[in-house]
Amino acid sequence: MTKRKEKNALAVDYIAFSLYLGLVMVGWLMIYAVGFTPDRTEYYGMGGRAWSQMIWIGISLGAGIIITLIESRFFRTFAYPIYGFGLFLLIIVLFFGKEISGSRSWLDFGFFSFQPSEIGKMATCLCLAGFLGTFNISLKQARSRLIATGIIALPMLLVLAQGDAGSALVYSSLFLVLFREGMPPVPYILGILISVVGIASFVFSPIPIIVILLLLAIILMASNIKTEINVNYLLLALLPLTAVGMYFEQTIPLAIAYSVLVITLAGILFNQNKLPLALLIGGAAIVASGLAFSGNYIFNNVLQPHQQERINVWLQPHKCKPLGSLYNITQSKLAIGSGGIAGKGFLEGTLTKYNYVPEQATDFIFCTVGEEQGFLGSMGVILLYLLLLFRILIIAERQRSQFTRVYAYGVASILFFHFFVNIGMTMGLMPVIGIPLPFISYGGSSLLSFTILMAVLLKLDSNRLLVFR
Amino acid sequence: MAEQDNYNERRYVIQILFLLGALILLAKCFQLQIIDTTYQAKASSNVIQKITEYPSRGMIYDRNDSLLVYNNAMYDLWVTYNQVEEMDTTKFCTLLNITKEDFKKNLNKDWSDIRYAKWKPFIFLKRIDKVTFARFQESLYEFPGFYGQLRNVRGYRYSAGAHVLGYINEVTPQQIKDSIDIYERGDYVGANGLERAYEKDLRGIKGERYVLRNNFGLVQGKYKEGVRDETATSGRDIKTTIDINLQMYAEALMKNKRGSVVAIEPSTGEVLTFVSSPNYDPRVLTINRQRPKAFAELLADPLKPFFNRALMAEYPPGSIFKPILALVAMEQGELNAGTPYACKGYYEYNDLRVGCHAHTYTYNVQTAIQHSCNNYFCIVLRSVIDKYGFSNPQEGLDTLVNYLDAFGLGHPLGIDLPSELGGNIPTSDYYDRIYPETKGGWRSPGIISIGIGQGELLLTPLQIANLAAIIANRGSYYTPHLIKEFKEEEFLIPEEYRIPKRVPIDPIHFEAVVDGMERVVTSGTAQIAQLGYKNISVCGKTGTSENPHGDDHSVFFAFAPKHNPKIALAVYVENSGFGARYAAPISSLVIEKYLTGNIAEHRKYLEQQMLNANILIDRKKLASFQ
Repeated sequence: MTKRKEKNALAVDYIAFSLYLGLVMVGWLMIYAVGFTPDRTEYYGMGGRAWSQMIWIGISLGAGIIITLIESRFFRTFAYPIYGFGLFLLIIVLFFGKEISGSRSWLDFGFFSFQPSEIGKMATCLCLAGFLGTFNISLKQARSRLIATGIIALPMLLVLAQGDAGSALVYSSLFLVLFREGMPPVPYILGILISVVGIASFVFSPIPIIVILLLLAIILMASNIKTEINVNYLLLALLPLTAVGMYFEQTIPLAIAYSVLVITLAGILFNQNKLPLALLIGGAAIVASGLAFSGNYIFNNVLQPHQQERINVWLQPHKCKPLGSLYNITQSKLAIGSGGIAGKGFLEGTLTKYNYVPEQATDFIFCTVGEEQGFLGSMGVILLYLLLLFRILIIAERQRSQFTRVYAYGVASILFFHFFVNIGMTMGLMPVIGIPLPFISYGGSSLLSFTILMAVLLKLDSNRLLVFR
Repeated sequence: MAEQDNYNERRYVIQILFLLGALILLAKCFQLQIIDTTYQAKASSNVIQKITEYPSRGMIYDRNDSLLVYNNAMYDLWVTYNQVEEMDTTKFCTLLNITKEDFKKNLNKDWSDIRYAKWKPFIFLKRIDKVTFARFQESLYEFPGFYGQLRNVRGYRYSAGAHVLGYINEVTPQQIKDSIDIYERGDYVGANGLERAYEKDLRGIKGERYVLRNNFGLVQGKYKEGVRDETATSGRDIKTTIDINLQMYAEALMKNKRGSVVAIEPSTGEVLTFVSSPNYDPRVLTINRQRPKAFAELLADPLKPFFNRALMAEYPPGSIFKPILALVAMEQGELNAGTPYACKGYYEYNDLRVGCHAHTYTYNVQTAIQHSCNNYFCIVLRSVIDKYGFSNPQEGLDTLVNYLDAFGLGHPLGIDLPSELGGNIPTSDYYDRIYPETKGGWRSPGIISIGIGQGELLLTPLQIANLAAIIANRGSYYTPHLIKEFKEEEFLIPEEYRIPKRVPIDPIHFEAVVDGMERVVTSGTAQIAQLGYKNISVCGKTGTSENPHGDDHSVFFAFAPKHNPKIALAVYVENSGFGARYAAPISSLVIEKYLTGNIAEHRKYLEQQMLNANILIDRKKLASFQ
């Protein structure tokens, strides 16, 4: 076996490594730019954050090299213990964590502090890979689906208990991995439906949402009915009716009429022996309608005004005071927008210095890209990410071992979530949930854990001719 | 061997998701950075700025509630270099009444200097008066990057009292360093007088506001709805002990003379009048564009108007020391009120001879003070110094020094003004150093000049006025002070001004001295100080302090009325000859004015004479000496 392992060892994927290195370099330059002020070179030059990040880049590369020296089999063998250790840290931090602005997510060792939720991401990926890579385990079995969901949900709930909702949401991206590995699509569709309805219920009153939901149910049911009448005519009549009813705010009569229609269609489906479909669609409509009511109720009566405000900043910015809660996001958008096509030039930014933009070196580092490098630079960074993500997907698909493939999809999902939500939030597309931009944001703990995440993948990939069991 | 993979096509879903995500971000970037140009315009404009709200500085009132010092509006013009755009500099300079060179100099700072930065607002032009700024403000919108900051500067109702009131100055770098988050560059701080002594009460607490400005420097609104704003707290108003009418009168009398007038209310230690002449008009030092020039001129004036003679000029007291010596000698038992010493026109000891003048027989302390007999007090001094033996003058002198210390001599009294000096009282150590035992040492005749208030003895006018108050009170006194009260009653003036002190002299001994001082005015050396009111008898003592550099200084200290005194004062007029010539008349006029409110008809001539007297050496002549 040892001989074969030697033969199976290939070099690390240099394309992925170069893309990683490119992002890290861009990140360092941006951190340098944030700290740099034209008149005070002696203060900021190499001191402060740029210097500290430089050291962390060194440490991260060192850690990457160490990981490539570890046998690939190690990660397979110790996937569960690593996961266990990750959970242990997540529990520890609940008791011994340092509380920073309302969340208890940092373990402080004096000289070094880190977030166990970062280690938890890798541990969960490994565990998921270990579980799904096991012979005879398939997501066709309900039990396996449950266990796989549990593997993701457990650390997610622990992170949520720390009060760090942003990081907890990151774990939900791992359901993408389960989708790739054969999880049926219905839960995903329902999940998306529930999310959309839930979010919509924060903004709109429940009845119009229910009307839309019932309309969807009618369309779905009608398209599944075998009949001589062309149902498209029915739909052509319903769409303008809905629009007119909505316009004159006659939503309650509409809702009643559509409910009757849905029940009728369900009856027809039952006659055609399609009861499960009718139950599914009808059930979903009822559950979603209930969600529309409860979501609206929760938003208006349970949430504190500052929590409502935070949601409004994302969903209904026009309702927020421009110099109040909206201020940070406005500053961030201003900074990015002011870059124009080509940007103001490296070190020439003015808004991403002196804290005009919040968290300008960490979560809002993309503002500096936008301001100093303009649209071209922003596009460059987005494309770098996209290339890296696709490269990881290519790596994933070329594996012989399901273990590595699952792990690779996990890495890609986590990176994508961070990338999309972080950049999205700087531009007001996504709610501000305070997660860093991988490889670019300032912060040793974040850089190191993302590097380890990548390094394990590259190490596993270099042994892709091996099949783990 | 490939593993079973039935969901291979699902990778496309994920790829499409990733692609879609990136495209959404790109589209949003495109919208923010390219389509929507308002962001580029807005970004350069909306800048948060901290605006300091300056508290209004506490006002100063006189003892009768006349407002002396108030606040005037004035503006500083600030600029943020990065926000300045093409503009009509000619119009700008004309409006502000500055030259283009000034403009360039004020705008282009040394950017390597830590104090300036292109992104940070700095003061472009200080001290713009209300009228100029109002005119400029109408056109402010044409000059992006500039904005005005309201400042309070001092205004003065009266031209008198400059040395008491002091002035404010821009804070020095050292003061900023020493204070903990109190001062910032460009703040004004009390630099002298009461302004400095009560700085921490007068200054108040600064507030701050955060505002958003557009690129025209105009305030767009509050930052974060003003949650971080703090309003300023005004400084405390203070009431000084000065009587501004008396102060103005005394200053008028001291015009064209060098010297000082310090008047104290004996029962409280409150300073009624505090004149150092030559002085200046406090209004000259109000903060405006002309101020630096005016300040420099005052500094360069050879008459040294900034020099506070009442606190810092140390003169030999001359004959006014005699009553004090008499008190100490009586307390020590070396002198009785009735002890006579005949005077033959001089004091003599071996070869030593101290001259006296012709006067009648001094048969007791009263008459000795009345005639200011040098012989009498030389004998008294020797008896005090030789109390512990002729060869042990050290102990005698040090005992005397201890008494003088209790009289507030030889050290600053602790008045609430900066830079007070303490004068000089020679101790035995001092003489031991000059006349070491190895060279024969020193004995009482060697320091005989102390007996007549000359020699190494140095007193400030304030100390002399305080001596008058001590005698007026028959031994007790309050440390002289200029703070009467804070306008807000919950604040008390410092404790040292509320607790009376006592000199270790039996009150009985004061009667002889007070009688003697009354005789000085009724039938002695200062009859000119007589007011002519039956119920107001002035008690005083003239002195002439020898001046090796020119004419002697004329000094007079007095209190009135004799019983239940209302005012005690010291007047020093430099280079004016003996005490009765200027110091005594000026004292009597100040006393009369304070006690009766005007000057009796028969003394108007004296008032005119004093008001008109000019004994200053010509400024030009003085300048040529230097």
